[in-house]
Amino acid sequence: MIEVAIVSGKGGSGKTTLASSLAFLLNEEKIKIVVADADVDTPSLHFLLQLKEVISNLNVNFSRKASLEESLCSKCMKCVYACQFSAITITGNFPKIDKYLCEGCGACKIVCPSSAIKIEETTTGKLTVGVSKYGFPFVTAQLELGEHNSGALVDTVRSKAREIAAKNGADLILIDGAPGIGCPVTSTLVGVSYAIIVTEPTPASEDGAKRVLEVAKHFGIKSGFVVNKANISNYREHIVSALEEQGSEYLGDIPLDFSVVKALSEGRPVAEYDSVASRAMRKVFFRIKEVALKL
Amino acid sequence: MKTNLVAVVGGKGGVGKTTVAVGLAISLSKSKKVLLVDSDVDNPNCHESLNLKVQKLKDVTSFLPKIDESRCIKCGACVSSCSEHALFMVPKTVPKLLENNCSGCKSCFYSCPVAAIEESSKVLGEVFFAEKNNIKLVGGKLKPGEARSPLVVEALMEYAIGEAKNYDMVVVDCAPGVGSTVTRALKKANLAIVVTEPTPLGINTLKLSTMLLEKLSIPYLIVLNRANVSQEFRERILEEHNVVAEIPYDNSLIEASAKRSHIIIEAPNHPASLALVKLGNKISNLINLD
Repeated sequence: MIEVAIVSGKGGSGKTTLASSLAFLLNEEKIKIVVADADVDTPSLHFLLQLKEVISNLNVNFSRKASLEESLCSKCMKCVYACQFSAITITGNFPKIDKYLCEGCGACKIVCPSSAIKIEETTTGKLTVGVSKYGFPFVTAQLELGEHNSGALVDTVRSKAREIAAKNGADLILIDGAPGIGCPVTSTLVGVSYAIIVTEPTPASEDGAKRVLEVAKHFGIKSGFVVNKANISNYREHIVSALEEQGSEYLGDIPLDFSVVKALSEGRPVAEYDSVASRAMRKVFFRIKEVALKL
Repeated sequence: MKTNLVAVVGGKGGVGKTTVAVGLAISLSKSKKVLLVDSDVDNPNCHESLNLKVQKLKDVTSFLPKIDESRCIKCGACVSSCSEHALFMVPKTVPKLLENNCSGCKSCFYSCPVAAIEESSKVLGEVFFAEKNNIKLVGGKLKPGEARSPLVVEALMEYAIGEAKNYDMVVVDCAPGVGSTVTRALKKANLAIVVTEPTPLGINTLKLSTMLLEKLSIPYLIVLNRANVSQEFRERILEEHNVVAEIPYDNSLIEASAKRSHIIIEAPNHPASLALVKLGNKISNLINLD
């Protein structure tokens, strides 16, 4: 069983569009897959893969938050200076803990001389396991608004996907990643066997692709890239040679055509349509199958 | 003095936050001194649209423990204090550090009974700056391989808030998402602009972003980007929300970005540019009224 992640650095380059179509095409070829949405801040793959059945929908509670019992507080303010995350400020006579900025590390509790601080477990997000209308298992999660534990929630999504894959004897776990290169993305990339970078022909997207490629290389992960919306600017040649030079394999172009917007609006993978973009998607899929999945 | 801080958020990546933030900064800079803050530290892009070379202002570092083996009494207090499981020990040996797991919270430092932990640090990223006409750009950049973007945002915002008094207006371009990278950038915002697009994904992230802003009690305006790509979803958004500006999409926006420029510079009379200027005026007026 192998794991493949789709990432981009810059957001909006087409990760979810590609992920939904790859899932659809893999399934069409009777390859046993489990699909996971690792963009836990703003998950959206379920809009295109449509859950026909929800198997479980559970709160994940591994975040921790500090809270202050004012009646015990000696107002020494040691906690204010101990916090490395600027989560405690002095408001009036008491320290005030901002629950959005608190990381629950417990440093304030350690320095408090009057045991006025408690650390409590709180909700990190919601984990949903279901079956896509196309028939394969699908794992997704939604981070609690303002939370900081997105990486840990991604870990939970991935272990759930692995558990299902092991039980079903799946060949492949396909992971749709978050934008960026931070916590949720490092958690998405660690341990995958191949990363597919989706980029578009603009300098901003090139920059994002190069940064996420650097992260992939940092973890020793092989990668390839797809130029999405390849026909929208003449920056395409530049981006292909720039990324090849950095050691990523070129996997193909996908042009922008109206079917992509239509598919998105109708909540279906673009590969389900017959269009220029969808034919290009199939070509990219066969290339990915050959170089990344070795299937 | 009150800081005039407007933050541009969007939830979804690639929805047009940077296009709006940079367009707003350029439009406001005609009559005001503007500080533009790029808080998308995973992928800062504002300098691309302004065609600016950025310079490093300072490193962003976080605490890293260094154990003095001669003083360590191998009690394990630091190991049990570490909520990230970055410290571990084989019984009766000096604890070992897994540097990648360390959040820099200093709990180990505070819990050590014999002061055997010294303060060391690691670089998480940097704060950079650049200047052009009436706009000063400051931004943060996470080092690839590091995961703690919120801490780079925190250092950037601390610097930006300190600088804010020298400017009429601060415009903050936020990261995608609705997690703490965004909440840290929103800390001092007195107004937010939520950018969305007429797709099911846009509608969903609009909902998440507005819920977050309501929880944080920050007033917001909604901007509909690529307003012309779906009439059906555009109408759905307009039915439910008060949209203050609609930015139409066509290829000239991409061409401008491929040239490391912005539509408002390349084509000042383009409907997208006019919409951004109008938005700038609206925000100026809102702030003058205050």
